[in-house]
Amino acid sequence: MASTTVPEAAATVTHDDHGHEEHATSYGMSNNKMAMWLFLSSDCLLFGALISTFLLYRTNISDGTPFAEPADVFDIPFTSLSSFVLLMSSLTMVLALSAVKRDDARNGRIWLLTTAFLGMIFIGGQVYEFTIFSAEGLQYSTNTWTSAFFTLTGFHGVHVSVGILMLLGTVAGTRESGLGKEKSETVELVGLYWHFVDIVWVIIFTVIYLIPIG
Amino acid sequence: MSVTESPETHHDHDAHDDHPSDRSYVMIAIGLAILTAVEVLLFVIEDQIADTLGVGSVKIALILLMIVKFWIVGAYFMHLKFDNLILTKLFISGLVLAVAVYFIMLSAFEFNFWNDGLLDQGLPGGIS
Repeated sequence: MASTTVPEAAATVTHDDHGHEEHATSYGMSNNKMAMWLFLSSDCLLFGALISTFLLYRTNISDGTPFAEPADVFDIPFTSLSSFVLLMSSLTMVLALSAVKRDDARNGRIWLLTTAFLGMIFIGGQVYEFTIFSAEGLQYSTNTWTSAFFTLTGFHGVHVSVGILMLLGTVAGTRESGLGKEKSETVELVGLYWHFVDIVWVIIFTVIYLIPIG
Repeated sequence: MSVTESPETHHDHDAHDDHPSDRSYVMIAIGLAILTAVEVLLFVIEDQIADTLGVGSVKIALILLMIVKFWIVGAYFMHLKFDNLILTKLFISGLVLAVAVYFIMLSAFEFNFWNDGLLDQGLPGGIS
């Protein structure tokens, strides 16, 4: 397999084993993939700022509430189950990509829809948790802890929801054209976003829910 | 137009052949689930560990487990281990910047030297 390059140009055009043309950067990969990684890299800053803010206010839960520490309000078994569901959705996502790369459109669709379904279960769990917190008097503006907590986990929930729309959009958008090997880059990009959402939750689950104060 | 074999392109495409099999992905996911279970177990027996080894040891163990899980998802599920190195560098640069944001905020709020400096100079805007 050879790649055809224009030395003076920043971009290259490569042909894979099946003759598909890929518009690549001078680094030898697709512009779309590079753009997705740039976006994910910049999204690290958003979550870095939100996690930092939460850490600075993490001891303020007792302001205006009867709770002495976050462990008094968190339902760790429930959140652990949610984390497990999100981790498993990463597995179904890579299985979807693997199926699409094998030109197995049927299984590709099944795994993509399974991933979206697991994402919906996670979001349902988050809505349930927020409802319980609200009923216990922990509202967005109760104190700086609740503001930081709801902002951080809410932004993550929005990311998961966008991921679900991307997954469903990929399935719906390829209904006519088919989900063959030529769509593997699309599925890979959606997968990168989905895995990013997963690793952000890996951090949130440990730093916000599990690590003790003090 | 010249026809050349770019080393990075070669690496990128060769790497695709080294991607884990579906069975390997399932094993990786089981490993991640076990690590999550260990994290929760550490949380449950936190008091016992803190009594013998100190609360710091629980925090360090949880952070190490988090880093391992982060690395596994990034390396295998996001294919960073198999893709062009530039992507890893790009992602790590974002992470480094994010950690830098945390330490800058920490320095502003915890160590309070910015606040003290502004107040010492009689300038408005000191963080109260």
